[in-house]
Amino acid sequence: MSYVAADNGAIAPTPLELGRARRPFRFSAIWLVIPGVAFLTVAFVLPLVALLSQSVYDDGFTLEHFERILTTQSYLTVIWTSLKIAVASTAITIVLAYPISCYLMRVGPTTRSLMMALIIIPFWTNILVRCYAWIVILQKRGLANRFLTDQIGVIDQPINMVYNLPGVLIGMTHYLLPPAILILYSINHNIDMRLIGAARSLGANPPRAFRHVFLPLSMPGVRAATLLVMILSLGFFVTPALLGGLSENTLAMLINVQFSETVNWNFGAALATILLLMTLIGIGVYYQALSKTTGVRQL
Amino acid sequence: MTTMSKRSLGGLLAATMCASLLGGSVAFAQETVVFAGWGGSIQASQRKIYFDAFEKETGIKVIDVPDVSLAKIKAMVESGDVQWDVTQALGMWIPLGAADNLWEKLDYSVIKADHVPQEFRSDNGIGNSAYGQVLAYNSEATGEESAPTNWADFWNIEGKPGPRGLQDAPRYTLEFALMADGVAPKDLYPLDVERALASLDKIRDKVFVWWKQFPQVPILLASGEIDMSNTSHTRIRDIVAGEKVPLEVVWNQGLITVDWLGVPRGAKNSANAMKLIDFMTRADLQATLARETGIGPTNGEAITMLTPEEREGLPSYHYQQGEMALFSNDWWAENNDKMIEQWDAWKLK
Repeated sequence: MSYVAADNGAIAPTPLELGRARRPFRFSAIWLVIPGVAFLTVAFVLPLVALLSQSVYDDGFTLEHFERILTTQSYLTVIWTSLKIAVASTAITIVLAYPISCYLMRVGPTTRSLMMALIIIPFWTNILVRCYAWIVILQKRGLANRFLTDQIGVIDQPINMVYNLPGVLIGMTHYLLPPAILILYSINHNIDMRLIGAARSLGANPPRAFRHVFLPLSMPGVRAATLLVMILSLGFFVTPALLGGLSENTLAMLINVQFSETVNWNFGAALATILLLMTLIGIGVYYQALSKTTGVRQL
Repeated sequence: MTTMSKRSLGGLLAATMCASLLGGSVAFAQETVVFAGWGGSIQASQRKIYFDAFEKETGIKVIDVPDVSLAKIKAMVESGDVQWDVTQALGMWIPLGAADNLWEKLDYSVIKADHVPQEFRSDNGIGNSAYGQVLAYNSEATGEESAPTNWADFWNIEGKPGPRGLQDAPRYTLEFALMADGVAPKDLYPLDVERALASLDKIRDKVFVWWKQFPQVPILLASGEIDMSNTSHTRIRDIVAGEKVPLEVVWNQGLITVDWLGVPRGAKNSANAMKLIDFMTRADLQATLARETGIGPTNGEAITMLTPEEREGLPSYHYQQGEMALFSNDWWAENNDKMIEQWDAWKLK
């Protein structure tokens, strides 16, 4: 291995890392992150560790809480339900948000501002209020069913749209759409549209130009939006509780019950640890899959 | 120039500190007691009827805060920094908290509880407001024919048709299921859980809405989404008074649940806490609260101060008449965790 002396006298192990070694370490830069790191350590990391450690510490070290979760059929069902609801709502959200974000790029500034306002205003509305509003719209004698039966008469009997899985997915997608659209738009509007023009001029038809030029360039936005929406959707408990039926029981709902109702913090902490692990593993698997398909590791 | 401004800044700081110290000592001279309750309209009524009168009579200032929970009480007692002196508590929190040693012993030389029945008081707390967990129905939707009079009627969906709502939680629902299956109200405890779940199996898929939150019920009943459901009597009273909807309460086979008052261990103003609890146990004030909110008194004297019409709307009265069963705080404190687990298993099977 050859060592090279950089301009400032530092020894770099290989010429390849010369660039990094040449730059002297700047103490000033570290101060920029210290306030944030300090705040997160005190306000987030320490309480989180203190709380999660209760999952294995209950008058001494124990794994009984994890054992109880992993050996009880109903808890495994709940974990599966949470995953299923999270994946389904994330998929629906991204599929709906993507075209909207593209549309936002094409319209004029006035329409765009108006649409942005329409997207953001529901974002400010309390989630409980939104759930009750959806109940009013979706229930048996609600606005949607009245419209379908009385106004246009496409169905005779009202459809059950709430207190079941569709109800939960409608409520969650509604909640998740604004952040998804905003992330997708923030990445997509930086794409150089001249590249599409270049593809067209080289003979690609519009679908082909979209698939080979625009879509790959928009993937960072899709990845970021999917990740954020997925993390958010794993933590839902108000929406499945109010818009779901007996079987739409999520991990977050169980955690809520353990902390507020049974006050069994150790068991609640064990459930929270599982939810956190699920989220982290999910992120890991997601990036692994992405790095395989795109050939680039992006984190 | 710079030194001058620094000096004057120092002086200003010192002056401010002195002022705040003085202010602090002035605040200490004022006796206080902190009450933690549910918040909302209930606490607004408590403020009007109990706390304002208490301040006037004793000169002790009542600071009332919302969102009481056993989890918060536990966190405060365990950290040694107890912010609350008197807490409203679900009845079962008293035995649950006692197991963790969360309560101060009540001083019954200060609290005059002679007219409070034995079952509503203990060393750790005293019953204060009674609720009815009852069957309620929309009489316009059911008509006379399908109007239920007991839990067996509720279970009889073929005989008395109409969409039902039931709470997605084991507490109260297990009791209702047993009464529907023929268990007499006085023989409920200890609950025969297997029999209760078997009884629930019969209507599991026929219940239209398994609701999660109490505020859902009046809306569901009033809008005609469901014809009948379990709920608490005050929810029905409020919407009938406000919206003039034809909702009725079936007191027969209802459960009476009582909110208690407790003093968290290590409370900073525990002497004042005893005085406030004594005040909130007074018959005349409990009667006033009952007139205003429909919340039942626990002081037996209070019931005698009310007119027959006023009594008719109170769980305390129907309990006295033997129509209702007393919810067992001890059984639930003992079994709540297990029941929640069994309930989750039952509903997902």
